[in-house]
This record gives sequence, structure tokens and C-alpha cells, in this order.
Amino acid sequence: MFTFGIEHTSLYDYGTKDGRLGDLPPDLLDVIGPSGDKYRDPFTRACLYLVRHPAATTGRGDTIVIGTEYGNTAALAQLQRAAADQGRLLSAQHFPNATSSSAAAFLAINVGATGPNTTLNAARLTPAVALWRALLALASAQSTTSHLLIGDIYAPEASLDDRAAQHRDGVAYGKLCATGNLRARFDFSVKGTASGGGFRIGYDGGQPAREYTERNGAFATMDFLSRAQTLSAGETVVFECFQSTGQRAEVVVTKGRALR
Amino acid sequence: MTTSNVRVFVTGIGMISPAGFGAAAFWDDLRAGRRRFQEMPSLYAGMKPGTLGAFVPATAKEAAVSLLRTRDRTELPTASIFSTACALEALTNAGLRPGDNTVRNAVVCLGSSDGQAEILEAVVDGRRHSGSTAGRFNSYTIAEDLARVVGAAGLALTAHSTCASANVALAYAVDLLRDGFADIAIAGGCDTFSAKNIIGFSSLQAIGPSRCLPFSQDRRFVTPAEGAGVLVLQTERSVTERQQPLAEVLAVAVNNDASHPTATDKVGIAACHQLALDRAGLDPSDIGAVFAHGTGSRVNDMVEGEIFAERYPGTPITAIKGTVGHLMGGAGAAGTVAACLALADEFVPPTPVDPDRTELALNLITGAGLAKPGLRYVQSNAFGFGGNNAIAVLGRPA
Repeated sequence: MFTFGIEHTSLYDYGTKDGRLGDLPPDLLDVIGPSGDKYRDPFTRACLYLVRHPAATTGRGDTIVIGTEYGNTAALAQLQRAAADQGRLLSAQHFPNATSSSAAAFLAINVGATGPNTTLNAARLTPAVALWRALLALASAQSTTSHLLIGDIYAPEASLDDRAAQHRDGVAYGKLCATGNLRARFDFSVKGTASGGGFRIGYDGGQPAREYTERNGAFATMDFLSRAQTLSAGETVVFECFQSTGQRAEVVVTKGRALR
Repeated sequence: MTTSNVRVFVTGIGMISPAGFGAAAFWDDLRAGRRRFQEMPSLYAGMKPGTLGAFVPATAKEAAVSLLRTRDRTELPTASIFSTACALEALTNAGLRPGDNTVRNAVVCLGSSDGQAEILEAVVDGRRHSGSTAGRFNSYTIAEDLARVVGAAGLALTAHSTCASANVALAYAVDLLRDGFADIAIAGGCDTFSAKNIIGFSSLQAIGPSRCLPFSQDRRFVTPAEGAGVLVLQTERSVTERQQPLAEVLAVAVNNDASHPTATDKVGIAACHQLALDRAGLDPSDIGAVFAHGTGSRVNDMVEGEIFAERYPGTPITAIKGTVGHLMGGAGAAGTVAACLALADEFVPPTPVDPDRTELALNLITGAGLAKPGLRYVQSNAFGFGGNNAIAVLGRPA
């Protein structure tokens, strides 16, 4: 059982919409800074924008946990193409931006996050596993704040990798803190049968559960974090993640009752 | 890391590396300091002629493939083949069988820096990759393929922390076991040859025509390599009497420098060392040997070497990248597997450099290696670009 608080949540859903390239935030470069932006990919930009936005204050010693399936694919492809095009003129600035954990690396430098930073991919179970990891950093007292980012900004190559899936760009962000009266319990046991895979948010009080079948877990995660942030004392929200092969992960968050 | 006191043991290991397939071939080359470096093909106009690298030999890949079912032999990408074959070796080593009751509940945690690189690079180049490609360059497929082949139905994940990936995956596995989510984990790391990665290192002038010389005054370049290492981890209550654990995982510490995209930072790395020792309940003087990250780069070896000289004076240090090269995301697994073998064999393998050219006041093990009767605690370091640091501390099973 983990005890924590949620200080801030936001969603970056700029990018492709219905197959068309959408608008970017008008203050993008103001927030993330122009230095080195030429070598960043849209995923790194999205993560930096979320965490560096003025509404989300940061501090040294924090932990960064990014859950993503395709992460910095665009930058990896960009480096490969640039080498073919530019040869000896290839800039050394490409490579630091073109690793599978570049977004986390540049976030760490920006924020001063010296905690157990990680980028992980557990397919549809990614949001639950990443949240567990973020809360573990708080529970072990290695950090007092964890920055949780879940989602994808799909490069064209990533979209090709699973043509059948619905691809909607988005990254959800939750700033989690060690103090608070939310309690989280996790279950990673194998249950259920093989199905299409997806996410479900269950609520107290007779509200119908919300289901998400799209591949990108950002939107379900944002729904869950927003609901957890606004729970009343004693209320519960349940986040279920389903793999198409039958594995499932469940997170149950309850708001503690105030002490008399 | 969790604060639970559940004890975690290594009951099996598997390796594939430029030494060949199997932990025995790997240890044999390490003991002998036998290098298998060769010139790499030029991948772009900016690459230095004669740049050295180290590859898994074709015979080793064939041996790995031979462990798989017919369908998997032609359809699995190389990273999946390497990881899965190592997992099968590790399970055999642990006295377990794929799909049995114990393995069915296993969690799978694999670290990789470049994932299914060969598939993405083929897509970018407009080449068709042999075998099925739909959904294949998603890095999760490495863990998924391994889980399917060994019959593990629990949580599976791939962790990305550049060259610290494997030890970070080990940390995930240990925490999942200590948090009670499973009693067995299959953990490790893997990276196969990646053109993008080689180009990247080349653009940084980090690789070249002379071999890796860790901690030597003459060091200049990293020697990139490929391979995988996998460990079977079990909680104390799940280890049976007929099993003989190789090591106990006392701690895995993970942190970040938050300083520079590529350069190592002494403050961050020193902090990771202290965190690992604190969690293991040990002092530096307790550590019997350190398997250093030791890449042969000017900066890493200076920073890591200074920490050894200041905090681990006299502790035997060795750097296996001087023998097998740098397995990238699999490097931490290679170091941790080697640490297990060192405990079992009571032997610290040599770093193949001239002892008279060692920089700093290190007790760097060279020459014929060091017999170390009673070796009790061993440390395995892994650091990566982006400030990623992960250190594992292992102990002889009590």
C-alpha cells in the first residue's frame, strides 16, 4: 500500500488528430527553450513541455518515470537518415537525443531529477507499472516528488508497426508527491482471458465505468489521475489495464478519511 | 527500492556474447582475457576506418536458435533470439523447465538500449526485414517473446536506461519479488548490433581503430559489442533444496546524474555507490571485487577510477569490456553474470591491459587474474548516457 498525493496533472494532446498534423502549443519553445531543439523529437518536446510548464514546479532530487511504447522512435530514425544524408557533417548533437531514454535524460537534466529515473514499456500494462515505479521511489524515500509521464507521440514508423491500431498522440502527466492522503494498492496477477486489450476506469457511487480501447494509454491515465485528484474522503477509483494476451494490472486508489 | 526484507537469490544464469553461447564460454574468455575484436564495416562516411567491434559469432547464434521451436527460429528477431536462448539456459541452470508451475508465474524484466533495432533500421532504410515485422520493433516484444517461449504468464516489461538498462531491469525484478508480486523473475539485458548506435558513437568520436583499454593511461576508445545476459531470481521461500543458488542479490541502486547528456558525473556516480552500499548494509571495505563499468573512455574511467581510488582502496577491480567489449544495454547483465561466476569460482578475471600503464591508484586485476578464496561480496557497476546509473551488490549465498 502506497500513500501519496497528486499535485498536478495535465495532458499534452497536440499532434496528429484524425490523421492530420495538429497545431502545437503556441508557447512550446518559450516553455522548453530553443537550445538544441533542432535535435529533439516530438516526444521529448511533449515531455519537456508538460514538466517545465509554469504550472508544474519542479525540484532537485525528483524521479522521472516515463511509460511509453515507442518513445523516441522519431529521433532514432532521424539520426539514421541524417547520417545517410550528411555523412561526415553529421552533428554529434543527434545521438544524445536519439536513445530510447532521451526524453527522460533531458527531463532529468532540466529538472535536476537525481532519483531512480526510468523509461519502461509493458505494452497495455505500462500505466499501472509506471505508476507503481513512481510511487516506489517515494515510498523508499529516494525522492519526495515523482514525475509520471505516460503515452506516445507516434512517429510514422511507429504507426506502421501496428497498422490495425488506433493511434492518437498524447502524453499524460502526473506530479506525485510523498505527502498526501491517497492510498494505492496494486495487483499484477494474471486473470482474465485473451481479449482486445485496453483500459477501464471504475468509480464509486454507481457511476458507469469508462472504457478505452485505443492503444495510447495517455487518455485513460489522464482520466484516472484526474479522478483520483478529486476524490472525496473514503471514495475509490480503480484503473484496470488489460493485455490482449490475458495479463492484467489493477490500481485501486482510495482517499483517506480525515482524522477527527 | 522497496523496504521489504524478502531475500532474493540468483538460481540460474545464461549468456550470449562475442565469446560464444553460454555462461561457460563467456567465463572461459574472461578468465583468459581472450578478446575477439574485429574491424567493423563502415556504416557512413564519417566513420573512422578500421573501427573495432565485437560480434556474437555465427556458431553461437546457431546454438541459440537451436534451442527454439521451428516457427520461432525464422520469425523471432535477433534480440528476441538472444534473450530467449539465454533465458532457456538460465532456467536449465536453475533446475527449472519452461512452462512448469514455478515458471508460469514468473515476471520478466529485460533491459535494452536499442530494442529491436534491426527492424526499425530496416524500416527506415526501406528494406524488408526477414520474418514477421508487424508489431515487431516495439521493444516490449523482446520481453513478450521471452515470456511466451518459457511459458511465463506474469508481468513482462522492457526497461530503457541506455547502458544501465540491464541493472535497472534487475532492480525492477528484485522490487517486484520483494513487493510480493511474484516468487520468480527472469531478468537481464540485451542489445544486438545497431547501425544507429554505432553511427551515434562514431559521431562522438568514441569508437575507433584501437581496442578498449579500461583504466589504462593509453585508453582512447570504447569497443562496441552485442549480446545478452539473463538471470533467474527467486525469493528465499521458493528456492527448493535441490537448487544451488549462485548468489544473493543484496541491493540494486538506481539514480541519475541529472548533469550532462553523455558525460559521467562524479557526484551522481558516487551517490549511486553509496546508495548501493547503504542498501546492502556494507562498507566499501566489505566488497571483495568490483566489476567496473570501465568502458575505456577517457571520462568514464577517470570518474569511476577516482571513486575506486578514494573509496575502495585496495579492492580488486576488473573491467570485462576490455575482453568482451561493451554490450550496451546488455552490459550490466554481463557484469552481474560475471559477478555470480566470480563468487562461484572464487576468482576475479583480469582486465587485459598493461599493469604498468594503469591510471590512478587502482588495484586493477590484470595478467592471469586473481584467485580469491572466500570471496563474499561483489559489486557490478553499470552507467549510461543520460546520467543513468545502476549498481548491483551480490553476496555469496549463506
